[in-house]
Amino acid sequence: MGFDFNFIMEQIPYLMLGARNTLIISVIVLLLAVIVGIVGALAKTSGGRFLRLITGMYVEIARNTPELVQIYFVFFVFPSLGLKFNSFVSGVIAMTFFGGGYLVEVFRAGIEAVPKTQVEAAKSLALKNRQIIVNIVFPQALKICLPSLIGYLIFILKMSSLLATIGIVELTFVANDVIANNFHAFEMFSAVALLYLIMVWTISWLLGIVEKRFKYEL
Amino acid sequence: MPWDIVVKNWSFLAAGLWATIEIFVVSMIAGTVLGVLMGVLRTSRVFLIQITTRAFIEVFRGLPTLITMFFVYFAVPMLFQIEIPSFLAAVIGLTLWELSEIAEIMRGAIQSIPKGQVEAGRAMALNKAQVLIYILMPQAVRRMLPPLIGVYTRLVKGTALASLVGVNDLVMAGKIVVERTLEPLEVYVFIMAVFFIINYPLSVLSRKLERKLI
Repeated sequence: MGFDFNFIMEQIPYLMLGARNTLIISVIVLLLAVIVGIVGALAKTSGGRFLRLITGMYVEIARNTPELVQIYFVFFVFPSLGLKFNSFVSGVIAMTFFGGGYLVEVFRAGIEAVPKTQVEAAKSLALKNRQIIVNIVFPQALKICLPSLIGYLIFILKMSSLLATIGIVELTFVANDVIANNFHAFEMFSAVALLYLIMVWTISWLLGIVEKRFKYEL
Repeated sequence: MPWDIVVKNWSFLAAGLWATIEIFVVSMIAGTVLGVLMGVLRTSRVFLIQITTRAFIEVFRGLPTLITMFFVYFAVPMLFQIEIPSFLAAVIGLTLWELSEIAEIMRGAIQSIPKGQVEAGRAMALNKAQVLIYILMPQAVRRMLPPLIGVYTRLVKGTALASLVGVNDLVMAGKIVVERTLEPLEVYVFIMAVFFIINYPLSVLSRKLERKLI
């Protein structure tokens, strides 16, 4: 059986739609997960005992259970609890849940990597706690975290393939959808694999550049 | 919450859990052996070996494991006119991803050991294999351990994908029970708890070793 190029050419618009949606979802999830990560990291580093405990539990659950099961949980269990979302929102919620779990640890490490003397210096200048966090610790922590964040964009992008299972039209869904009707599994999965690799490799190339630049600045 | 759903369907869920464990153990062993091998080859000085192993690793680390698994399950049989059973497809898909991760860890561990040690070993008339086995490996293994366990925790989570190529694993069993009983909450809490109980000790161990070895 030969490789049917014409078939793939016909599918290019649909493939591009899938790739575009994969990218859009990944970026949305990353941004939301960054927010969760920052809030969680602040709770873990400067919250009270109870807040730290809750955040710790969240992080452990998010990181130690399968991403697929978390997606199913939001998609199948939430409606039975009276929380009805469409598949897109369900997918984004689930992915933000586990993505955020990883980013809490990333930001916590970033915050802790900011030298203590910086905080002491800020205190001696009579800055308020909020000012210290927002103006002193945070900008430096973000810089330290940036390479990891790009790394987690790759993780999120790869995990977004799971969203096909709940019917979100992204790249993996496109592949399944097409081969369900046309049986060109080899051509389709080759094309989809190539598109994933192009996206992942581009991001990791970007990561390399960012890492090299920041190595000298830090 | 009517927890008896889990109890009533226990034998069914347990059969699923058993399949999940089988997939995990088989891919863990296969991935570790092949990954260590690939990692050693990756540090080879022969350009052709270097470039092929690197390409292999970059491809299977870059692809979503689900796509690799689908490729093995749907595309490969069409290409070669053979049939690949679900279980095998799941194991191959997970192993390809895992061995690439482990190869990368292995390469990092070997290259982090000072060159002087290899030179010293060679100066003591050890051959290349002896240097690898007696000098590099014992140190590399110590450094590899925390990230290796990290890969295993991700592998445990990855086994859930087997349900998507039709393996009757824990996730699939849970899905079937939910379809029968229409009580998703108990079943999914149970599945998450099972995975958590397997994974949490592993991730604690990984963190502990990391602190100890650095």
